[in-house]
Parts: sequence; C-alpha cells; structure tokens
Amino acid sequence: MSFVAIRGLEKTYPGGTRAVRGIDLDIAEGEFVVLLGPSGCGKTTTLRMLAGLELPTAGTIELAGREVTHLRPALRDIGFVFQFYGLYPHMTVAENVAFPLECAGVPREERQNRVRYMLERLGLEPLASKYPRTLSGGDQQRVALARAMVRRPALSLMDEPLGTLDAERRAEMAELIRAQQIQQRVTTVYVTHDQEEAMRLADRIVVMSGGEIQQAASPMEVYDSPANRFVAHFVGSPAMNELRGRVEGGRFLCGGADLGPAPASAATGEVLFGVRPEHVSLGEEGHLHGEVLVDEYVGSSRFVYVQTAVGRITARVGAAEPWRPGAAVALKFDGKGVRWFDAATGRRLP
Amino acid sequence: MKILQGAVVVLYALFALLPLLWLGITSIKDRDAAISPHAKVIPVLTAPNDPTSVGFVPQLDAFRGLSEVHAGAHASFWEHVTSSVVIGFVSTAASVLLGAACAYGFSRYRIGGAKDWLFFILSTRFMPPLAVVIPVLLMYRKLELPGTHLGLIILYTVFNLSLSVWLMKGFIDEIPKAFEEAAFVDGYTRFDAFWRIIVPQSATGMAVTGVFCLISAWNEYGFAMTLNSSSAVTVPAYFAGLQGNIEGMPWPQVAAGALVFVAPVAVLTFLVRKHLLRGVTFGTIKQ
Ligand SMILES: Nc1ncnc2c1ncn2[C@@H]1O[C@H](COP(=O)(O)OP(=O)(O)OP(=O)(O)O)[C@@H](O)[C@H]1O
Ligand SMILES: [Mg+2]
Repeated sequence: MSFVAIRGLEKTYPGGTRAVRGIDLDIAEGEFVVLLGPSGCGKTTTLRMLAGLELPTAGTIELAGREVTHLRPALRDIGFVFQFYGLYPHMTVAENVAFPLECAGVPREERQNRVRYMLERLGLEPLASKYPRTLSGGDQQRVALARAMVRRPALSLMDEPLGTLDAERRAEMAELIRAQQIQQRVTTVYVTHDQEEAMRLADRIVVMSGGEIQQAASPMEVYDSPANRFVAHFVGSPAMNELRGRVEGGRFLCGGADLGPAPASAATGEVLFGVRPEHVSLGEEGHLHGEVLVDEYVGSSRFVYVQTAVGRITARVGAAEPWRPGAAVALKFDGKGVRWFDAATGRRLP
Repeated sequence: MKILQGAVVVLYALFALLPLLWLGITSIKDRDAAISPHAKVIPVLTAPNDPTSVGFVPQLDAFRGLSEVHAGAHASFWEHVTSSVVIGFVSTAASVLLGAACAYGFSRYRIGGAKDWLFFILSTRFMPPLAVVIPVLLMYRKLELPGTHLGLIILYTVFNLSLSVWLMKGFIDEIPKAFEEAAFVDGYTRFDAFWRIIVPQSATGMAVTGVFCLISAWNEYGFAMTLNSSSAVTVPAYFAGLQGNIEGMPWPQVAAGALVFVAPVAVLTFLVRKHLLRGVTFGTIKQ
C-alpha cells in the first residue's frame, strides 16, 4: 500500500498547453521524493495538483488511502512552500509562521511555543516581529520554510524552496530540510531543477521531461543506470559523454576505432555509447586519440576536455597532474562505466 | 517651463479655492453683511459707519445657529449631517464591499464573457442618473422608500457599484494568487481567504474606492431632493430646501454649514491622496 498513489495524471491548461501527460507514481509513507527536470517540464503543475490548487484533466490521486483528486486543498492536510511569494505582507514573520497552526485550531500557548522553536531552528528569532517586505529574499524563503515545517502535515510539498538563496545558504538549508524531514518522517515531494540538490536530498528522484516521468529511482540508480539518454544527460555535471557508432560482429565501432565489445542486447546497427567523465582515463595508450582542449581544475580533481575525431570527450582525472592544452592524448574507457542506449528511442539497453 | 507650470497650478488653485474663501468669509458675517449689495470682504473690529464700506465685523453666530431649526426646515443642520453620515457611510461601505466581492470573482475565476460583463457594469454609468428620477420615484413610492435613509442608501450603493467594481478589480488583480493559495492549503475556504487575505491586502484600494464613492454619495443632490423631504434628507438637499421660505435664506448659517460639511470628505481625500492616482487609472499605474 503506497501512501500517495498517482494514476494517469494529466493536465491540459485552458490555453491548450499539455503540462502533464499521464503520470503514474507511488510514494511510500515518510519518503522524500524529489521531482527533477528542466524548466517547464510540469513539476509545479504536478505539485499543484497534489495540493489541490489545480484540478487534473484526467487521472486520480490517492492520499493516505483516500481519493483526493477533486478535494479542496484545505481538506487534504498538506503543507506547501511556494516558488515565489507565499508570505503574507500584512503579517509579521511570527504571525506568518503561526498562521497554519491558527488555521488548524492549535491553542494559543502551544502555538507560541512551536513558532518560537521553529524560528530558533532556522535562526529567525531576531526577525520575529519584522514584516516580510523588509527581509532579504533568502530570509523570506526561510520564513516560508518555517511556516511549512511548523505543522506536521500528512504530505509536505515544496516548490523550489531554495531557488532564491545563495550557494552557501542553499547547502545549509537543504541539510536542515533533510534533518527536519528525517526527524518528523513527513512524506515530502520536493521540486527542483538543480540535480545536485536532488541527489543530496532525495530518497528517490523522479526525473521529468515534457510532462512525463523519465525515471523514478534512487539517486544512485538514476546516476549509474539512467533509464534513457535524457536522464543520462540531465543528471551529472559535466554531462555523460556520448558517442554514436555501429555494432558489428559484437564490437562497437566508432569513427573507425574499435571501442570494445558491445552488449549482447545490442543488435547489429546503430547504438549510442555513454560514459561518465570519471570512467574515462587519459594516457599514452587508449581506445581513442585526441587533443586536449581545456584543463579545468576543480580542487578535488580536474575535468579535461579532449577533442577527438568522433567528438568532444570529457575526462575526470586526478588533480595532481596538469594537462597542457594542445597536447596529444589517448583516451581509455572503463568498461564497467559504459552504458548503451538505443540510437532511435534513446532508451538504455540492458 | 517649471515656473510656467507653477504659475498655472497656483492660478488654478486660486480660482478653485475662491468659492471656499467666500464661504469662509460669509460664515463669519451677520445676515445683513452677507446680503448687503456692497461686497463686504475685510473683517474689521468696529462696525464701519459707511454702508458702502468693504469692512464687516466678524462673529461666530452662524456656527452657533447651526443647531437651530430654520423656517422651512424639519430639523436642524446637525440632524441632517447625521442623515448624510448614515447614508453616505453605509452606502459607501456597501458599495466597496459588494464591489470588492464582485471584482474578486472577475479577478480569480474564469468567467465566460467576463469582458462583456465588465463593460455592461460600467455602462450603467453612461446615462445621467437624473434621467431615471421619475421611474425611480414611482418605484420607490410602491416600496414606501421615499423619505427613508434606506431608500437613498440603496440608490447610492447601486450607482457607485460600477465604479467600485472597476476600481477594486484593478487593485485585486495586483494581489498575487499565491497569497490565497497558501491560505487554502493552510485550511482556509474562499470566503475566509477573501476576508483574511484579500481585504487586508487591498485595504488602501478599498480606502481609495471608498473616498470616490463617499464623495459622490455625500454631494448627491437631485435624488436626495426628489425622494426625501423629511428629516432623513441629506445636507445638500436640506440647504436647497431652505430657499424661498418666509424668513429668507439664512446665508451665514448655510456658509458655516457648508464649511463643516466639506471638512470630513476633504480630510479623507487628503489621507488617501498618495493612492488616488492608482485609483483613477484603474490600477494600471503600479507603485
Ligand atoms: N496557469 C497556467 N496556464 C497555462 N499554462 C501554464 C500555467 N502554468 C504553467 N503553464 C505551462 O505549463 C507548462 C509546465 O509548467 P510548470 O510550471 O509546471 O513547469 P515547471 O516544471 O514547474 O517549470 P519551472 O522550473 O520553470 O518552474 C509550461 O509550459 C507552462 O508554460
Ligand atoms: Mg515551477
């Protein structure tokens, strides 16, 4: 029995935009699910349908064993952090945070205690009596989080809650959200287009594109075994290297070079060869030859961009040794790290 | 250029303020000075002997006289002010609240032919209201509304509603939907959200709309004169009703009363002056 069950969910806006095109998803109780995808892929729309702020064109939503597809938001027991705004300008920070408790009829004293505790946790006490418009964007977002977390809803929905924060604050707040979620075990659906944030937070990542789910799996699985080319490219930075070639006689041939055995599942014909930068090594000998374009030092390692006859390849190598642009190098691929994709459908081959 | 602008503004202000100045001077005259064929404009301490002098002795009798019931009237000035206040403020509150509720609907729901409806609402202002004074009077007779506060309250509320809907729509359109959505999620119904979110958020808009409605209800003369003849009449009609009575027009009292009468509206307008521009442009100019 899943806690949240989404079946065939679709949304076509009155203008004709098909924002969500048939989503099936099960979420377990206490799970932290991250919806990840590029701008406009329907993340917010999905979240708003879960909240009841938007009615689906088709499909059903079940929450805690109850069908809620057409139920109004107030009756669903959810918390929502909005992408923009969401704080009441005519209320102070403390009043804003107290608002959901007030709506839920929590007695005054308990309300004050819980608000104080939440403000303390987020380092917001000095701002308690300020009005939202006098706060920075980051502080406003923290207040919005405090408001969402002050109550323990059945389902917590967050729409890019860290979008307006600077990098340092982002990491800190992400950690806090995760800690709070682990402590309260609130089932959470979190929306972001930042894949690193998704990796850091999620029990399970749901990668979306064009209103459809591309893959729903643990961060590790999404990274290691992407279901298709879209996921492979969207998750991981720099992106996965991709080479287009042919399978002949069980070997993968690309631009005249033999890059090793092809998977048994690949029929003779065109396939795509994918390999993440960390599975590419540089040396004297290798599968492909090329010329160093750029050597990018990032502290713990370096990303070396190499131009070969069949395309540009990124390698992640040890930080110790610099690579001179223009130098000739050979590339070697670690067979365990190679993933194969169908050239026509983009789906990963087993 | 700046100087020219300033000069035009000052000239216009003088021109516009002249009647007020004249009211002020008249309110501190006695009746003889007020109706003298020789204009008396300079307050002096001792009565001048020459009847053609421009001087007069200022006094406050006219203000004291406001509580008298003059010949030709049913009640004192103050009782009529009370009527004006009741009729003006109740109809204003009703116009603004109904207008806000209607504007909220137009702003937040998808309504078929919304543009046409809005145009229709505005079109009720195209006709000069007095054109329908006779039908309204006949209708009101049937309903036994002439002579009551309620009659004028209903009338002013309805006449101001179109303005109120349009102004409030401009103000409510500017309030992000996320505010209400957050409230829905927290457990509010539409109705709660309207009262707890939209009303406080659009408070300045309501104040501006209220001032416009109040000015028109406060100063309305034609219907007040036709429909009401008892003590429920508003101040403009009361002043007019003093004309032609046996004792003649009590001009200093009328002037004093008019001064008192414009004060509340002047103060309210002054209080919302910063937001008025947004009001008259239907919210198209953002702050
Ligand atoms: N209220 C609306 N009316 C019409 N179209 C809409 C509406 N809201 C969103 N859309 C469209 O639906 C599609 C999906 O939008 P959505 O906001 O769900 O994307 P998103 O994944 O949240 O993107 P972002 O990362 O930019 O927030 C987009 O093409 C958008 O233009
Ligand atoms: Mg979004």
